[in-house]
Amino acid sequence: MPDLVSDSGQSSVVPLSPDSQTPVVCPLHHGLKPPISRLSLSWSRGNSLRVSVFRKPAEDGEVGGKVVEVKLGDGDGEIGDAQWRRIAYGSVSPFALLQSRKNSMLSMSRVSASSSPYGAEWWDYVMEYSREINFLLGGQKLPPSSVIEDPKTVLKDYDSLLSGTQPTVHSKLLNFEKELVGLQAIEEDAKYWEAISSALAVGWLDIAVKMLRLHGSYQLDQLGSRELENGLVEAVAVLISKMPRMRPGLAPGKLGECYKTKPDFIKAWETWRAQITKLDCSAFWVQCDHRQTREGLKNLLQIMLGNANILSSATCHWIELHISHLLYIRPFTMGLESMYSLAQKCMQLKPMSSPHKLMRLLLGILGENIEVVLAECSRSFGPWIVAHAVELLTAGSTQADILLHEERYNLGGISMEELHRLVYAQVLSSHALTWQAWDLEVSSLIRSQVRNLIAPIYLTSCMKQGMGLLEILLYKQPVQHNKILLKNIEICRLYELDNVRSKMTKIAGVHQWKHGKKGSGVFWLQQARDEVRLNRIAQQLFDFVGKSISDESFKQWEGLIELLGSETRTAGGLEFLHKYRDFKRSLQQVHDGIATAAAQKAAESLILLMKNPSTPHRFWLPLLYDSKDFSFSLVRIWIGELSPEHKIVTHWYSFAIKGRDLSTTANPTILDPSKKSDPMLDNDREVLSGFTSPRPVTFVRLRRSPSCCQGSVLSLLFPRPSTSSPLDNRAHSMANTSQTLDLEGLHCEMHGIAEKIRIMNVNNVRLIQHLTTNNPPPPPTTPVLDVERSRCPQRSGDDESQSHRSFSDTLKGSARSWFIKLSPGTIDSFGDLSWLFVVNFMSCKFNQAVLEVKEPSDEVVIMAMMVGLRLGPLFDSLSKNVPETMSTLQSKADKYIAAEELTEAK
Amino acid sequence: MAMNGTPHPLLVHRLPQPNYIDFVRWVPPLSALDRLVAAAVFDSSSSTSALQILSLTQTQTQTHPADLTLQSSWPSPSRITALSLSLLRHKPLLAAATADGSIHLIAADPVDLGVDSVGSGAIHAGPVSGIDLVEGGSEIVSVGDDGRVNLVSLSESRLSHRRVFDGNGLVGFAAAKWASPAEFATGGLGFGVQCVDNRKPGGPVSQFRGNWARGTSSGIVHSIDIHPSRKHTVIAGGSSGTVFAWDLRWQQQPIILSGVATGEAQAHSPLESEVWEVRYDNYMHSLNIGNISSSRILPVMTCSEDGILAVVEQDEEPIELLAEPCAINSFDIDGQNPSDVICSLEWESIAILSRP
Repeated sequence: MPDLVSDSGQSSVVPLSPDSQTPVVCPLHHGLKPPISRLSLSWSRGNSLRVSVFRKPAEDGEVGGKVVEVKLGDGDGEIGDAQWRRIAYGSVSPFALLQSRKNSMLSMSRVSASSSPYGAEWWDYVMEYSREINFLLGGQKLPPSSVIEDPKTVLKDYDSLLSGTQPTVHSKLLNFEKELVGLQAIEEDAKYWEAISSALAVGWLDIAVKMLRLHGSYQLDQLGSRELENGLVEAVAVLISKMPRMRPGLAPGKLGECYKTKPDFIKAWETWRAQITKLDCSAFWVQCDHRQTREGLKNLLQIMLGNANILSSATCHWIELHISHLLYIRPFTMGLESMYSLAQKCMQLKPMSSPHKLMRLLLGILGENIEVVLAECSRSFGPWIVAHAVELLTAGSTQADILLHEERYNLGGISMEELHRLVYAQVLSSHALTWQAWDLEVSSLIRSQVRNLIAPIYLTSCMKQGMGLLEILLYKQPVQHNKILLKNIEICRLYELDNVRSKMTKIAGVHQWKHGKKGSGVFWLQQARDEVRLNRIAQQLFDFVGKSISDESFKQWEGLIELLGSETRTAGGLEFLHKYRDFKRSLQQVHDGIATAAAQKAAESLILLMKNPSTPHRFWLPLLYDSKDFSFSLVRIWIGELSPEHKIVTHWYSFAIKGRDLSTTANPTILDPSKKSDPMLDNDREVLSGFTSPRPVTFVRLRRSPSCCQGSVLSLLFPRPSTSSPLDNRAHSMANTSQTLDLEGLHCEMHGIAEKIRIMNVNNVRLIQHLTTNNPPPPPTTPVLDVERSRCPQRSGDDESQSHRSFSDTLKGSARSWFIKLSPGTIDSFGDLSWLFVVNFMSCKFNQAVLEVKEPSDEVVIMAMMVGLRLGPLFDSLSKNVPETMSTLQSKADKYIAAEELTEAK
Repeated sequence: MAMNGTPHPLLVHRLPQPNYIDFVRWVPPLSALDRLVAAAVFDSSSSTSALQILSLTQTQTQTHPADLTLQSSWPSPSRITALSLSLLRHKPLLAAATADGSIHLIAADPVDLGVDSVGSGAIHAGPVSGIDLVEGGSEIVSVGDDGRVNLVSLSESRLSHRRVFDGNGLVGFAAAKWASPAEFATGGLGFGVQCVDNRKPGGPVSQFRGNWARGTSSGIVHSIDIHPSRKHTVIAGGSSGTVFAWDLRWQQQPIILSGVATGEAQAHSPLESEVWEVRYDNYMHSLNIGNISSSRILPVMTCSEDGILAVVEQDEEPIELLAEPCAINSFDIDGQNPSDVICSLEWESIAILSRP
């Protein structure tokens, strides 16, 4: 075996063989850009080498390496890849046709309950199949009819089949043909007679007769003097051309008399032999004075009479001898009877130096040994032939039928037929795949489908393991390229492999998603109906809720919502997302300073959002956060339109917004001071007072006036809480913990109490008065403030102080004490105050705050607690498993507090 | 063998090729005697791609089959994923897009039939999925899986491009087609079709969204075509045997020519699988096109993954021209002689049809 040495500069592999003077250079296409840094070689299947080519790890984004398979052919009788593929493609249709016929025949026989599933019809089908396959393999390339007339045609196939080195009848004839030109008196040459007898021995009657007629006695000038000689030659020639053959017909130009039935043939054979014997014994031979002619012709007669010794000397190869035996000694042989022993006898007489692979197969066939035939087929000719030959082997042979269709334990319960088909299918599909796994270039991934598409036809003809293997093969297919994927999906559709299909599309979806092709990602996931992943994508989209995002990512976000569509099954929140998107859009327009109509629209979307049952409750706060820059009057509209349960979440928040709105009074250009007496402001107070009431308080429905929709300029005046404030953290953690905060039960519960609240609302003022007067004095607690307090001087104003007063009136307990403790000048505005309040009571001392709200619903408390909780172990634990009751929450929290304290103490 | 349900005798030649044929196109004849074919081939044994010019010697008898002879070949750096052809100053100009995102303009020499690259450039990040050369020019519109639409033009043997649209991966395109030198249409994921006027910036002029929302019944548009005399109508072929026409004048209601994709009960459709290519079939209709109402869709030829080459017409049973055991990946109708159709088959062969 020649060594293979790399030539990295030339990107080619050079086989160097020490014994040959000129090395053969075979360029190897690997498609990698130079420089090649490393090359590794290993054996692959058969006579193939696996060459791994590596580049230096480069930064230019090129493929780092490739594996190429090099087939080491000796150019002898091997067929090319393209030719092989043509055979593979061409054999699919005949095979599929035969299989479908077989299936229909089987089902027919089941219906008619006939004893044998295969009849004469089946035989016809198999013959048709055989013909088609045969045609595919190159078909009937007939040997040249005359060596003499067309010296250029050679029996190349015949020669290479028997032997490349040993002499054969054909090579003998060919050699003689070369000498023919130089011969004067042909009949004097011993080789002439040898050639004729050899041709006759193997049954090439036409060649023998043609050569006989080259005999010198046919020359016109000699005919007179050699009349008897010529008569003998012609007599032999006629006898040769009259040789009886038992066959339906002969090709034009072929000699011999055809007989269709055996009795006719036997009769003709006897007559023919009698004629030969008669000629052999005639007296004319004595009169023939040309020795070579006499002996040569006598020899020919002996061949026709079946003289074993002469046959043996006339032939070269054992197969030739075998044929001559069949022709002249055992003309009546039927089938394969005793053919094997004859073959062995012939082989003893004419031993082979290097048997061709076909010989072993031939012996197997002669010996009627199916196992040998199969083994030889697969060893010498590969899985293709075995997969396709099985039908031919089993037709008409019960023994083979049983052998091939029997389910074998050692094969895993499948039959040999199935095994061979499986092997072939695997070769078809994995041939390119097994070594291309490294190949990252898309283009070469496409190629694996080429052969793959025909594999299923073979696999589906396998009863047991076929579909399983097909599934595996399909899973192994690359999904990166849409075209291959679609072709594979088509296979799934044809063979009803829905689960494979959905898995493949799922994988494709994830792949595309991960590679930034979100559009195709979502598309394939939708094709796969992968609710889980689509939901997850939707959840990611929820993360955006309540956050300010850049235009670019908003576009992306918007696009994704568009992609996900509004399928209700996919994530219940999609409808919400769609509405939210509309809201965001109009909000953006407001920011861009476009008209009040946009603001109106934004407000309407917000109301729609808040009212819609599909809006997850956990998004109420983020939603409000989004609209924090809005005028409060605008928010009031929706507050008025909302059902009571919303306010549990929103009333704290509304302080923040309201606070800002109130502070606008400092800017008389925006809000007229005359608004003090505006009933709307009174309502604001109601909002305030409603805050501390044990149950949320509903507000009087307000008329919607366009003036309410003016964008708030206050957001500019009013400083936003610093980004590090817990409020921002909260908004963030909320979005992340998503489902954990879902309070579906709350909705129903609140619906029931809505009516009560409405009644309460009527007596609102009185109730508040009652509550505030009966409050016990505040306990001396000092809550920790997380927010850096603004040190701006306090602005005084009637409104402001009024709101402070009424605000403090609504508080009790620690809340009140906290408020009282706030040093003057700390709070810039009512807005600040409310922010601080929210932040303070959300971030710490939760328990006390809870206690100070009378009869809180457990869910509300838990939710509020979750909202306020900082990120940490307790939060993680709670989000995984949301407690249902306050007591479980309490005990859990206690445990975590204890743990935390222990850690701190260490 | 050739009579696959067609009422007329149809001459079919199947010519096995040594390579996998990705795309096949008729090349307008350079002289009266030539019949030329351009084929984007892929050799799976060496993993190399090339653009080949083959000449066809065709006889009108069934017994003596036609033959394709290789005239010239241009090696492609990567697998060709789209191919388009136009005539520029009576010379065939080919545009080939590849899997590595590059686009190549290749001119065929009318004298020796040689092919040479006149310009190339790396335009897309991933595979280019659709490409179209403007008629009688060298301007190219190219689209990719990555959701980008580029206008590519030749300047001093280099291809430069201008990005018309960037979907940022949210959309994926698979097909593009010029309607006029200034307008083109694209098609892609979710049965989406977009019409773009490159004189108007800011995305598509109009777009059809298909039916994203219906989930599994959605699909991909693989190919689109626009008739030069019916620029308001885009025909598109895609998944599940879907062929539809989208009329810009009635944008909400596409006209379904074949397939079940939009949920409408179609009586019978021979096409069930991916429709890889669609093309207006101007055979038989070349004379009386003026008589056909402009709202009626002209006949469309399609080829599909299930091996069917068919002509579909509005409100009529499709005519099957060819039913192969393997997929038909691409086809082309001869512009000069519309009775002749060439198609590339999955099992490495080319089929040539001559309609009566």
